[in-house]
Amino acid sequence: MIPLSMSSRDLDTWWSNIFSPTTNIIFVAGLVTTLIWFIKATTSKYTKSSDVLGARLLWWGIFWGYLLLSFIAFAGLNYFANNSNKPIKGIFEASLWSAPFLLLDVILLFWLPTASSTPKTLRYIPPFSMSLRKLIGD
Amino acid sequence: MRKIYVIGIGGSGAKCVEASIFLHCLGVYGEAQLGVFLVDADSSNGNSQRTQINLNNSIECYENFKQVRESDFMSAGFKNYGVWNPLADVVHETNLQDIFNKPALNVNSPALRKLFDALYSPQEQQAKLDVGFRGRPPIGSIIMSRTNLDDLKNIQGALWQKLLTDIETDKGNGEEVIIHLFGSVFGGTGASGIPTLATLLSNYFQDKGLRSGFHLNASVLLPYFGFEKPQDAEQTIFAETKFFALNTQAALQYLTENANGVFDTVYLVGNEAKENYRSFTGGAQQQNNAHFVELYAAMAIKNGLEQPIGQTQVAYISRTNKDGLDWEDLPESQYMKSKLAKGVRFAYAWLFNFSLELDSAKQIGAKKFATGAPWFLRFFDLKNPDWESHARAKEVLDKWTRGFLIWAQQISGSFGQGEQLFRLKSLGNIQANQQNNYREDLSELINDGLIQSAAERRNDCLDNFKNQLTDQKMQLSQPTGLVGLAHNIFYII
Repeated sequence: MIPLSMSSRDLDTWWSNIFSPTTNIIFVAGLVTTLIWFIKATTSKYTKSSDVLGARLLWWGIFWGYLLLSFIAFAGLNYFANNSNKPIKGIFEASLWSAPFLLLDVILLFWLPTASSTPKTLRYIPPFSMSLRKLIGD
Repeated sequence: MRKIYVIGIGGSGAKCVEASIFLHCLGVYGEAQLGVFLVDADSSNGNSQRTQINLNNSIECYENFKQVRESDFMSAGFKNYGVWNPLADVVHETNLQDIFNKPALNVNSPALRKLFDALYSPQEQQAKLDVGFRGRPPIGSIIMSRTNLDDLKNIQGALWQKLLTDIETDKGNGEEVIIHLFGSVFGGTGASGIPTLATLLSNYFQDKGLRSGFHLNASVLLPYFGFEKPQDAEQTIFAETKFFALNTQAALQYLTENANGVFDTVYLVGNEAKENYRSFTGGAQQQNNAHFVELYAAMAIKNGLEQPIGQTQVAYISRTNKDGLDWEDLPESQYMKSKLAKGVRFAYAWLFNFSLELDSAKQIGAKKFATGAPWFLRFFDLKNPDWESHARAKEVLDKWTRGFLIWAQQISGSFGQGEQLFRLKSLGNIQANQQNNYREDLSELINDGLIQSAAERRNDCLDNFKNQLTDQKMQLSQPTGLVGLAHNIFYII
């Protein structure tokens, strides 16, 4: 249980106006970015290992883009909620508590599927994918 | 196990042996040992030397890659008997006059001396024979006819002793034995050597009571190349294209009249359109490109195994289109296509991709490399890739694939301006162009006239095969290390 000083009414408001939309955005963005990565992995052909290693830049690019988008969505919703006619009391505290979980959400939605299931030549490009796949018996 | 003994006589014979070595490496002759014996009066002949190099590379490759029994690649071994020089016993005499001691003939047998003068012009009598028989069958015949196998067999450690003893032992052990001779009948060494040596071998084994138990076949090459007067020296006696038809006619007449009962099957192979080679009278510079006629000659070994023993017969083969050569023109075309195409695709994949990738792996470290090359994990231990123990096998396979691709490239370019069977012209100088010349696409390598869809062409690439290597459960018994990698590539490609 998170020890918040918010009233349950504010918490409900924060949940429905900020947290829930943010997680929805993160989920959809996660689906889209993961799909982009899988399409890239499925359709690309590579002649040599050094070319494949170049795809690490793309993976990190997508990851940071996704993270940035998630942060902007979260920060934006917080900003507009805080500057509305009825600001939510304790919004900063709630957001601070929820931020690590949203970050974890981002990681689980993009890193986990790409690290465990990227097909073909790019399969070991996501960080720690070699160890993870070995762990799950690939 | 089947034992195949190939005897390459002269430069063209050596080139046919070269083709048979490559076919054997690809498993065309099945589970058999290939014994290689070359006959050449010109010990420095470029064709014989190239064959020796490719034979030694193949033997080394076999020694390194023979462990995987389920694979056709390097599935059976070789035995190198070396090069026999019919002039080896008269090294100090350099021409016919000296060899037959003409001054002594003047005194002891004037009639024989007159016959000698009648058969050989003064130029022929004085021509130095350290470069071979100079495309003159009469010179070769008189030298070859001095050969006595019983005498040669008694020379301890000599090539003939090893060869004849091995054949006798194999027959004694109940092995299936085939002796296949190669040589042209329009030059000097082959034209004189094929009938003479075949008769000697046949008689030798007849006397031992062993003749009925093995095949004695020959691929006889009819004219398929030509050249102008040699420019490497001031020669008076040399091979001339204008004599080829006459030499051929005389050799075929001799074979018709004297070969009955000697050979089991004789394959006559030639080509109407003559490839023009640069001309040198013997020596290392006499190194001509491989020709598809030699490929046909080498394929005859397989056909010869299925023919009856003791019924002299002659086989011909022809192309369907005189302007080109198609896979359909080859005997057992589907089988040969599958073997040769696989060999070319494998050599190409190895030399222009996997070999370069392994160099890169060594350079940047196994773990980092494997991140971009998942197939690497299937064959090598990331913590201890053991580069040292793989280094020799890699070097040997690099040499073999390079030699094989050069040969295949020459075969593909041996007819007119276009490319036959394979498309390898774009590789340019294979000897020089490997470094950092990565290749990926396999769809254009085989010239089979099949129209592939765009998707099929796109998928016929090494990236796909690398993923197959990574994903599939290996079907070969020893799938680790460089040896396992090479065999698995050969298996799936």
